[in-house]
Amino acid sequence: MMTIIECKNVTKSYRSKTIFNELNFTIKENSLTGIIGRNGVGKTTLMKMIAGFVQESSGSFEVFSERPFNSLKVSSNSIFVDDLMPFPQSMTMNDILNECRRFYFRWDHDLALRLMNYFSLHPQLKIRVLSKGKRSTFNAIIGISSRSPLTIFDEPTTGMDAVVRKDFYRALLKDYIAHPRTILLSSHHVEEIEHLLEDVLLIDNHKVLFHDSITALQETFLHITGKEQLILKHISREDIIATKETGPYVILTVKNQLTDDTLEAMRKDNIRISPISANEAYVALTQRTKGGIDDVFK
Amino acid sequence: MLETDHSKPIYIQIAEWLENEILEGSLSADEKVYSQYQLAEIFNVNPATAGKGLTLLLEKEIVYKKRGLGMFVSSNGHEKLLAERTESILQNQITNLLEEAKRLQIDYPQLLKLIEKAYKQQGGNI
Amino acid sequence: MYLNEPRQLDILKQQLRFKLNSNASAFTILIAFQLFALLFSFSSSSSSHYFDETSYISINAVTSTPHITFMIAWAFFIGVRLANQSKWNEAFSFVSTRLTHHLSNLLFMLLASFLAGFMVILIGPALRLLANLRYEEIDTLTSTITEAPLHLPLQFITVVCYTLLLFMIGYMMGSFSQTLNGYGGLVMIFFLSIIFFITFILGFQMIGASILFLFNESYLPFFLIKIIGLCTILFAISTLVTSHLEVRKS
Repeated sequence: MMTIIECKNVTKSYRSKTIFNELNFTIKENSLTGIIGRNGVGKTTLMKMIAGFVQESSGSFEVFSERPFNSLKVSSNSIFVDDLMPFPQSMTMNDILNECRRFYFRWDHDLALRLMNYFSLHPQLKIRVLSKGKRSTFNAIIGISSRSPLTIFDEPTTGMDAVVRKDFYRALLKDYIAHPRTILLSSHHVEEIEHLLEDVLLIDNHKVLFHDSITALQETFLHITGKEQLILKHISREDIIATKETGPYVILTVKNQLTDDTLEAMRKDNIRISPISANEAYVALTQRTKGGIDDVFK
Repeated sequence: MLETDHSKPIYIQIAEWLENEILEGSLSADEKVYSQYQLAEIFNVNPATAGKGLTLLLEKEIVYKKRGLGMFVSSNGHEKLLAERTESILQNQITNLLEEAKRLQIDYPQLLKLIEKAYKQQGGNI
Repeated sequence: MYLNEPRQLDILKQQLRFKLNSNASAFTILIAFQLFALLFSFSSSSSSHYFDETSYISINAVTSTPHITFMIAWAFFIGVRLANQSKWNEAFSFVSTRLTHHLSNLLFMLLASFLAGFMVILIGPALRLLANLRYEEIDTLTSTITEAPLHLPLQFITVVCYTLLLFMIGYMMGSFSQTLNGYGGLVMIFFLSIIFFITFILGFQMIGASILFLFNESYLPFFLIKIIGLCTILFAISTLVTSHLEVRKS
């Protein structure tokens, strides 16, 4: 499987602030990868480097085997969509769609119009009259209809209401299945996009913290439910990532590194072991301090 | 169709759904199973994830692969599943029963008597 | 998967089409400017002379100078606008590189300059027509096409050159405004002011001299060379200043 994006020892800093420190990863062709991480960790900067909008400070960045900054090939075969995506304010949505038809070689105009109709966007309206939510929806429609070999969505659902978000994800998935391409999708709402993703690229602390399938992310941790003293017979306190108290029981999040014997022993003691969602695993991986928000209120 | 409880990994849920379809008879022996793309559309998930569910079944030999044609239900898939389910479910029930008995401080002979009584009530012969 | 291997020329053409579409308002502004200029061209100078108590001569002069001045001012402002951050970001919403963005802007400004040239040629007869409607007797002080056949093309070339020059100056200013966190434009104006001020103190009027450098050139080929040379330098500076500029919304 061809590698579309190759990032080797990439460092990015602005004056004294370091965003990335020797970042390393590759993205393969025709996959849907979620780029996740806490606020301000640099997801947008990374995606802009991939799109060729921002250049790396050092290291080697290759998209379609070329350096993306100022590359005509990369620009022609990719599209960067976020909620802003500047368009001339005086043009109508129809005008913009016609420009897209000219620029994007795999553009499906019919699909774009049908999506516009579905989301109640009137093509003759000017860009400047759109509300934030409608603007995000319009940009998202362009992102899907462009069918660019590399499609990058940076928090595309900002401003969209819950119903529109669901429809957008569904539309994206359907078109991705019918017309495979490489998609990068960043979002705060990991729980909302879990089902969509194949792989996950988790950025934390200026580096890649996790890069594997979403299934692997889920299986990194376990939930252990039961009486705390009973559980501590089998595991040590250091293994506990997070604790949640519910009445007489606690729900502990631990790393999935327990032996089968330990697991069996716990089951015998009536301790419940269950898998966790990818979102919870993401939270567990990126927690800064031990414990949770409840501790603030103790 | 998927459990809204996000805990159980999606690919496992899909695998279990397929197993149920086979057990119920909606998918019969040597019949073509849904492709990962079809499953992706049905369950609204990424095709790779759906594919993992299929791979699970493949490893269990519940389905087999025909090159270029897709996945098909094994001829003994139904029986295999039945045996597996029976064993695990029944095993679970028995474990629960024993644990409950322990909690209620009922010893082994008492337990057997209770089982006999219930069995006869349901019209069985010992 | 089949990847697109685009040619620079194709992208350039697409970008130019896009810029023509998205900058349509520039041309309506031009028309507004020209209509506004009419106020000045018709009231620029009128003089009345009394011979005796009963008769007087009133002379009203209609000149096309304000039109040309406004045209050049328009070029400057549009040049600045073309180079600003909004236009920069908009170009990258579609397929673009920094070079194609600049080149397509250059082509746009060239086309607009030619348009300006044609407009000025038409303004002469238009003013004459309006003057005829407004006043009873008119006397034309400029030559007609039969008297001095080279006058018209010369006027055309001159207007195109000056318009392009002002476009370039504006474009450079606009490019600088994107640097140094948005303060580059102010910094540049600051430095230029200091230079002019210093030369003024030294007794050398730099502003006047730089204008005369072009105004006083009577030999056409040299004039063209000077203009093209200046424009090239200004354009090159604009390109260099933005060569590593990122696409951000700040």
